[in-house]
Amino acid sequence: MTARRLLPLAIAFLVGSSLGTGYVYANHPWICSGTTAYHYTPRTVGYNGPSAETSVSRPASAYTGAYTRSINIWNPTVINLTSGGTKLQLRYGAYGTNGWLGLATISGISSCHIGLGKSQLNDTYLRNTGTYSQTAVDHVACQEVGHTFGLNHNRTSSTTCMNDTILTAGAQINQHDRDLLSSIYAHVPN
Amino acid sequence: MKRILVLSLALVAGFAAAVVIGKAASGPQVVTAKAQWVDYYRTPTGLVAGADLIVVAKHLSAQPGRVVGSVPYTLNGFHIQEVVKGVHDGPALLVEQTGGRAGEIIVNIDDGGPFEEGRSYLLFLKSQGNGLFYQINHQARYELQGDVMVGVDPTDAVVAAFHNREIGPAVRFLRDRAERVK
Repeated sequence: MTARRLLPLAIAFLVGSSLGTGYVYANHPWICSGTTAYHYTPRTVGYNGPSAETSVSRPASAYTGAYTRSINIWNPTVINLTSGGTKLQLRYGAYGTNGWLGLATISGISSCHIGLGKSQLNDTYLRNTGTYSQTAVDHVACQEVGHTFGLNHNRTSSTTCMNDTILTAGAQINQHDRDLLSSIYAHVPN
Repeated sequence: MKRILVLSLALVAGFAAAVVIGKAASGPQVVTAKAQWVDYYRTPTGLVAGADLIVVAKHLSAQPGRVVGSVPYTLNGFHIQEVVKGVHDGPALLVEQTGGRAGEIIVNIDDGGPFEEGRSYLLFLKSQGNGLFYQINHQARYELQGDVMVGVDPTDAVVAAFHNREIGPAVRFLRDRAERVK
């Protein structure tokens, strides 16, 4: 086979593999580099909180309860969440009129390993119980915690809190989330 | 002679890489963030309807703003070049953005990150009611590269409707939609 024949094949393969990668990952893992997602190592993640960063108007139990349900839903995955640690901070507060209900931040990144994850729920909006039911608060808490494990938004399913186009899933994740976490953490020790 | 040239190039490349890596390693700590936005739109018309102010504006400055809890904000100064929807008193526009620099930490949220000084943007904004505005979400910001708009997340259907399109026809479309949703 000549180089002239091989070149189009190679180009086609590269284009195909590139498109294939985009499809398989469909903006669901939170990509760090190439196809590698941000992730903790080891898989046992100690968290602290939930605790308030400012005074809040909605009863604090709305946020602490939402985080408790999030922990309960993520814990049976490959992630082992333990109370009293320093790797994940669960926070809530009235952060202002800024456009977001919840925020997930990751820092101390080294070789795509997450040093510190933080989830924050914004009481400035979520205090409005007429607009934001407890299910909505649970949805946001579940999503922000999920982000800190290396998951991105999933806009194709209504059965997961990782969908940022809805607020109706509550503290619910689906098999795709579980499978993706298993894939991301396959090489990570417990 | 050829071998010397190759070795010299390798040396220069290695030096450049070391400088880049060294600068990255000694720079401030970067915190990456993802948001669940208050407003998410399924159509461009919805985005137009949801915005209090739509402008084409040139970024002039970024100053550290308030810090609430552990969340820092940045105050971005813009010069309005064109108001597409809404009313704004004068060309000086202030947009408060979640993130920015807090001491030696830079918080980079998925709204497109820090604005680039001297660049122009098409922005969909909401009013905070105190003279400040904020960018609605990741669908609400398009950097102008020449006449072409570049969105933050082109996998989003609304962003894809504007991404890589020319600003002139887009502004005409937005004005038309703004009239319809009045």
